[in-house]
Amino acid sequence: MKATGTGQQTKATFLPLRVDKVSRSFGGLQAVDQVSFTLSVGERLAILGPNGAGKSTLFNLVCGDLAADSGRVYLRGEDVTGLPLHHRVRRGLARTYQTSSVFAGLTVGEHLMLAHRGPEKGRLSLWTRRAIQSEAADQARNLAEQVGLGSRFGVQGSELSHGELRQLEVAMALAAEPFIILLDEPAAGLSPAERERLTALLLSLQTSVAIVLVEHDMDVALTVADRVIVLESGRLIAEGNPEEIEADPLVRAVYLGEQHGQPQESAS
Amino acid sequence: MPASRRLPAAGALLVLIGAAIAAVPALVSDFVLLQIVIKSLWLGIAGMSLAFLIGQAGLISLAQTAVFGASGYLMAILVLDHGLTIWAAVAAAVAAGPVAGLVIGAISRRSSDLYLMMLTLAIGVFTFFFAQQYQPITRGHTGFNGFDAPLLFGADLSERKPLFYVSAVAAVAVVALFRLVMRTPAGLAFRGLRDNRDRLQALGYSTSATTISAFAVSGFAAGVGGVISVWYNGAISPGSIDITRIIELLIVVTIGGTIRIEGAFLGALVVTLLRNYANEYTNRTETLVGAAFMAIVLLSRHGLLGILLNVKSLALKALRFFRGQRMASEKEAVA
Ligand SMILES: Nc1ncnc2c1ncn2[C@@H]1O[C@H](COP(=O)(O)OP(=O)(O)OP(=O)(O)O)[C@@H](O)[C@H]1O
Ligand SMILES: [Mg+2]
Repeated sequence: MKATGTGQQTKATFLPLRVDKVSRSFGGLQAVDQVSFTLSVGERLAILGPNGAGKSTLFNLVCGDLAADSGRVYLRGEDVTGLPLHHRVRRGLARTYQTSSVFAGLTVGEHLMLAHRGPEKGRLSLWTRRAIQSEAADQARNLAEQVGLGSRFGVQGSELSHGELRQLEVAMALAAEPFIILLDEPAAGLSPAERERLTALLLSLQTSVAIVLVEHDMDVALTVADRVIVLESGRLIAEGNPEEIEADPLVRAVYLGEQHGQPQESAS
Repeated sequence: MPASRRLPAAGALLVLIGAAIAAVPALVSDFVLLQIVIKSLWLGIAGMSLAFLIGQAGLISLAQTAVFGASGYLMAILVLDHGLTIWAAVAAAVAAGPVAGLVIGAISRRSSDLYLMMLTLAIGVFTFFFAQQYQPITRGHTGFNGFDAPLLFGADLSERKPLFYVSAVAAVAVVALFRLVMRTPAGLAFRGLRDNRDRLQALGYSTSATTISAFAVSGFAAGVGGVISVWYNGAISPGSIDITRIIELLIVVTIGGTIRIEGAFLGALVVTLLRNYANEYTNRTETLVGAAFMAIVLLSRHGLLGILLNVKSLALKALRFFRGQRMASEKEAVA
């Protein structure tokens, strides 16, 4: 790949993410099988594939939620394969979960503050610095507005609806100011209006952020993505831009053929 | 709310608390002051270290008596065996609280829930046996007796009134400190750990570091409680940190509830009252403590304080309801 060539490049010139032949099995099931892909600066990559194709597992391998059986993961050129989840997050990787996972007793605002500080050194500080604190609070408020949770800022996680939880997932990922965001079906279970807002939000993100998106909703996925990879039974079966993927006969057969057009629901 | 507006409110609260503290010795008998009030204060301070761990960080520790003992023993050892001046020993003992917490946190950093309870129970029991059997340092099962509480600005802390004032101020100080910590980034991370440790890690936090930090902070209260208990009892022995004390702390915190750290004082008060007065009516005091424990657990997940807060919010709701009714009828009258 282009980034690993000379050895004299600065960090910024490395690809944000390079996944090299990662595999993972559960018992006899090969959930992810020798998958490789790269992500360049500011790129929007969609990962498609039928249920059980291994998309979430691939995310887990990239983030460190799960250890890979083999293969390597590089963040900005650094091999992070052996690093635990939180160390990868500190290096600028953020993700959302397909099944919303929040803090029942924290308010929306607190979720965003917590997420914002995650990659910072002072995350466990026993000292509150006023200026920084109020700046972070303002940021949290703005972010809550952006994802549509502005009026729910002081509401606890346990009180949020399904749609609000999805929005909070995305907001938490953004709050960390990452350079890569992995979104696992962020639109699942959202109303059409909420989907539109989410799409607009993703399109409005700065190009310094690269996005990997797993999404069953084609409108959201293909509007946001510049490039698509398709997984099936753990293997990468196609790669290309949205038009190529839609036209690919193999892809149509395993995935789009049966499902494109139907608002297929996979909220689990 | 801006800090400037909150400041006078905090000042007023402090004056109120100060006045209440100043009034207590005049309101209760000397016996009650010593046997109930002061005892509840140091037991409450120690209990608060557990209430903080459970309520804020979701860490159920059975090793807080080990921290309590580490501080109490250290002070006694430094003064009685090494001739250190008392206040230097007190400072060392207070500092030993967070340090002991840190060590226990480091040992248990990867565990949670049931496994954490088992591990910390082992630490608590080990500390007890260490105190009992490591004679050269701990003087074995007799422990340290005849410890004289220090003088503070000429007031003798072995007398009840000065000891009460110091204990009360210490209690307020520890509460204030915990409340401050709860507002820091670490305080928020503790609550994150409590609610969803995997998700916390996915935000970039090390759950180990967060656990260690929570144990260290909580250790401060256990240490302060340990120091005051030695002043109070004039002694510390393995009996001060045995398994019944571990259970006692758990009961204090369960009765008090953990949604508010201050609940520990309520729990300590209930336990102390039962221990002192129940034997006038029955000789099965411990059975009664156990029954109270069970009753509270059955009645409320959040202890006695939870019940009281519920009553308060019900009362407020009722008040608002009646006020609304009155306003509605007044409006009608106007119309
Ligand atoms: N922790 C696990 N233990 C055992 N099997 C697992 C585990 N996680 C995933 N699997 C299996 O691995 C396969 C891939 O699952 P994965 O969740 O990655 O699919 P997916 O592409 O995200 O599907 P969906 O569209 O339904 O979210 C599935 O067969 C799943 O049952
Ligand atoms: Mg999935």
